[in-house]
Order: sequence, then structure tokens, then C-alpha cells
Amino acid sequence: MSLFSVNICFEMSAFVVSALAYARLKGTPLRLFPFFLFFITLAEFSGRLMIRVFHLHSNQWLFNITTTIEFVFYAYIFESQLRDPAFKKGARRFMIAYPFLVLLNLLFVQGFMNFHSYTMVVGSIFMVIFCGLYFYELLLNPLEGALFRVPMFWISTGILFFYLGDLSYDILFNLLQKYATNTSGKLFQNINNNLILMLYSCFIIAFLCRRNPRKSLSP
Amino acid sequence: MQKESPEIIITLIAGTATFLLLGALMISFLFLYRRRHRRHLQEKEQLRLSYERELLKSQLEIQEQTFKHISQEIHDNIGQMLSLAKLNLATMDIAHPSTLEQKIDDSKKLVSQAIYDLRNLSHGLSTDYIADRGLVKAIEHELEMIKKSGDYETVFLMEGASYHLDSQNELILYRIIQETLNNIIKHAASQKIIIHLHYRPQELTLTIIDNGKGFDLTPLTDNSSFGLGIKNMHNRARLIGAGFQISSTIEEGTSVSISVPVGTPIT
Repeated sequence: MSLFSVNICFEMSAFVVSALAYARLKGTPLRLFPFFLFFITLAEFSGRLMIRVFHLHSNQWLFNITTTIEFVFYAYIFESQLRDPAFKKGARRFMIAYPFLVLLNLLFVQGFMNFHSYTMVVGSIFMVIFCGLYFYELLLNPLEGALFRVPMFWISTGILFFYLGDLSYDILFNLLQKYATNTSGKLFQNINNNLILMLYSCFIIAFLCRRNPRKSLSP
Repeated sequence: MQKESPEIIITLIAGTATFLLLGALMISFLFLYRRRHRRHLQEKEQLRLSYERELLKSQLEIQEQTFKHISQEIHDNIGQMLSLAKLNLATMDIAHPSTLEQKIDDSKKLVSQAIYDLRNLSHGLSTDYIADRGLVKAIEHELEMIKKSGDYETVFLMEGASYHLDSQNELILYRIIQETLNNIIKHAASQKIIIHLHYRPQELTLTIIDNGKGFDLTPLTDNSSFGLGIKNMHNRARLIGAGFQISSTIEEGTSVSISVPVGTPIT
């Protein structure tokens, strides 16, 4: 049984491209992407290892941690790229409050060994909001040249589609768990796989963009 | 395991499709807005360039007109007076003191008049002619020059408290006035020219009326050279955000009216 999947290959590719582009990303908040992508690839690989090699019953706890880190990382990226002090402040508050919210959820509501779907929905909605705010700022400052050459545009597009696409599943998660069959499971798997491909493809394009990403703006 | 409800799968698919569509709409809106904004900026830039081009053209035309006027004035007027003074000086005879005194007086008067006319001409040589004198003075001067020819009766009317427009707008407006007056002189065969300036707080209305032979406005819709001159004036008026109207009645005369909004941003 293969430990590799198309998803992991795309995650690894994104990591390799970000590592190769590191010299250009240096000095910008995007410099953390190679480390983040390495962590994500490792987590994904470990998750598969747990199920397929060690035959553990669940690896949900691992993804509860990684998705929380993902949300905080993306919020940090948005915080550094947004211009409006109020938006930046919102992103900072999210970065602090979200891990606590997940912790409370895992401790008192959904349990550590179950997937944190409630806080996942909250995090996804916030990601969509941050993407919306970033696009709103692009509307207000339209003199930044071609959008296709703005790395953060690609990153935001990937994040937007990924979390919007997964939102239905996260909202219906408990219901699906109750009435789960292969059909819905495979359906989600298909949707999720395609969204992952899209997310990491967008990241790869972002790192290959010629224009240097915007340096962090202090409020 | 319980039987899966098809509603859940439909909801999942519909929800995912709706959310993804929402994302696509957001991105599309962003692109459309940016494209429209870029086009708007390009149009603005084009308008600015065409305004500057027109301004330069107007300055050159005014300069050309001024030089023409100066050369005519030197040749027909000052030159004549100085020639006459020279003739007086050349024909002075000390043996006849009575005529000598008269000739000296005449020569003095001629030279004084020549100096006066030269001073007037030198004012017209200023490169910031309109900015220095203001639109009202420039129009008065223009009418005075036409009146001096003896072929026209000119009337200048002003209503309201005068104010200055943007100097570049005044220059373009002045050029339209000059062009209109030239057209009257060349084609209208009129005896009377009236210029009416009406200063309102929000708008300046300029009307130029002649009692000439008038003309048929229909060819203005063609691309004939006749129409081009007036279209050019119309374009110039549009550049300064002004309204341009022309009306004409055969054998009665023509009226050109330009309304300039005050404080209209140009770019």
C-alpha cells in the first residue's frame, strides 16, 4: 500500500519550489512557507503512516493540531499583507484566540480524538473573510500591476477556494459521520483532493511569480 | 450502518458548488473591477495628454496670430508714421522757419504715436498674454483691434462679478473666441459683433453674436472642412468641460455660446 498520494506529491512539490525560491522570499513573511510546507507534508505523511502502516484507529488528533497551525499561519500571512490597521488587528486577534477556541472545543465539546469540525468551520469562515479583505484592499489600491504576478493573490485564491470548497463538508460533518457511507466519503475525498491540488498549485504559482512579495507592513 | 440519505449528498454537492461559485464570483469581480479601473485611468491619461496637446496648439496659434498682427501693425501703421516723420525731417528747410516749426511738431506727434503704438504692441508679445491681462481685457483688446479696422461695430457686455478661471482654461477659451471672431471676419459679412460674458457663481457663459449672413448648420454633421473648424472649437470646449452651442439663421446672423462650469476638474 503506497504511502504517497497525489496530494502528498503536490505538497512536496510546493515545498521544493518554495525552498528553491527561498532567496527571493527572504525578507518577506512568505519566507516561512518552506518551513510550513515541510511541516504540512510531514504531517500528511505521518497521518497516512499511522493508518496504513501502524493501523491506528484514528489520526484525527494529528489533523486537529495541523489544521489549527495552518489557520494560525495563514492568519499571520494575511496580517503581514493587509494594509488596514483594523484588518491587521483582526488577524492578530484571530491568531491568539483561535488556538484557545480549538482547545476549548477539543476539551469540552468534540473531544481530542474526534475531528474539530465546529472550529474548522469557524477557521474556514475567517480564512474566507481574510481573503475577502485582501481582495478588497486590492480593489482600493489597484495600481499594483498585473494580478497574476502578485504572489499573495495566488496564495489568497488557493486559500479562498480550498476553504470555501471544504466548508459544506465541515458544516455537514456531524451529519455525515452519523449517516456515512462510502458514497459521501468518496465524494468528499474527491472534492478535497481536487481542492488540495488547487491550493498547492496556487502556492507553486505564487512562488514562481516574478514580482517580489510585499514586505511586512507595520500598523 | 444506516442508509445514507440522498439529500445529504445533494446538499453537500450543492453547498460546495455554491461556495466555489461564490469564490469564482469574488475573483471575477476583482478582475473586472481592476480592468475597468485600468481603462478609466488610461482614458484619463489620454484626456490629459489631449488637453496638453490642445493647450500647446492654442498657445502656438495665439502666438502666430499675435505675430501676424504685429507684422501688419508695423507695416501698415508704425512704418507709415515713421516714414512720414522721416519725410518731414528730410524736407525741413531752415530758410523757412514757419514751415520748419510745423514740420517739427508733426514729426514729434508722429514719433510719439509710433512709440505709443509700439508700446501697445509689446504688450501683445508677452507669452503669458491671457494670464497677465485676464480674459476680459484680452477680449476687449481683441474687439478694439477689430473695431480699429473701421469695418465693424463691436459691443462688449458683461454681467455678474468677473472672476478668473484656470489660466489654461482661459487660454483655450480665448482661442475659441479668436477662432470665432476670425470666422466672422472671413465668412459672416457682418457689421456688428457682440460679445456677452455672463459670470454666474457656478458657470461662465460666453456668447458671440454677429448680424452677418448666417449659414446652414446641416453640413456640420458631415466631415467637410467647413464643419471641421467648428468641430475643433467644439472639441476644445469639451476639453475644458464646457458646453458648446451654435445657432444660425440665414441672412440674420450667427450665435456661438460656450458655458464653462466653474471649478470643473480637468484631469
